[in-house]
Amino acid sequence: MKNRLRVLRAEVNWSQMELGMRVGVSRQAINAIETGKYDPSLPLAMKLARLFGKRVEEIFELEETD
Amino acid sequence: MAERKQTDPNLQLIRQVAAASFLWAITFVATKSEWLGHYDSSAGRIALVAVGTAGFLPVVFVYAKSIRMQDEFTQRIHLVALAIAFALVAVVSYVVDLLHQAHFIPQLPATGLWALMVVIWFAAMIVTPRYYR
Repeated sequence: MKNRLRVLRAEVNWSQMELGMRVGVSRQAINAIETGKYDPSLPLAMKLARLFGKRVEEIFELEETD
Repeated sequence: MAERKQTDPNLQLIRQVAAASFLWAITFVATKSEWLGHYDSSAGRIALVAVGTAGFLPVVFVYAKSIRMQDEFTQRIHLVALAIAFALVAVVSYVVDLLHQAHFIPQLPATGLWALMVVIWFAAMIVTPRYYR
């Protein structure tokens, strides 16, 4: 699954740690999501979407291989 | 109105881990000692099992609690690490049983198996996050 988390985070100039604290996960979790190695749960994806004022599908996108 | 004192959940957990470990250490020593290690009477044998089990359960409880307090990503790493530990211990226990059956080795205590599982679990907890970097 692709995501635009890194871009959105850069736009508001937050560190991975800061973003993680805002949604209640660790910096490592944010890093794993950004690098596409970990797909977040639906509640976490929705928290992220709400934080950035976007819909979930505006941040996360299925790839052909998913 | 009196304010309720808030305790840091991490500090609370550390205290619980310390208390559970201390309790386990005491009951572990007690089960190995002379006065509880008597197998002559039924009462002594029941006490041995009851004290040993009662001392160990809180350790399991606080470790489960500590995992539940983590975020979903860390819980995922725990899950992967536990799965690795489970698989390796399954293989080891199977092979150990065969070795014992073939009279290559004596019967080993089952306690050694979960100790091995804990060691592999912790080792996998160190290795697994490297995949997600």
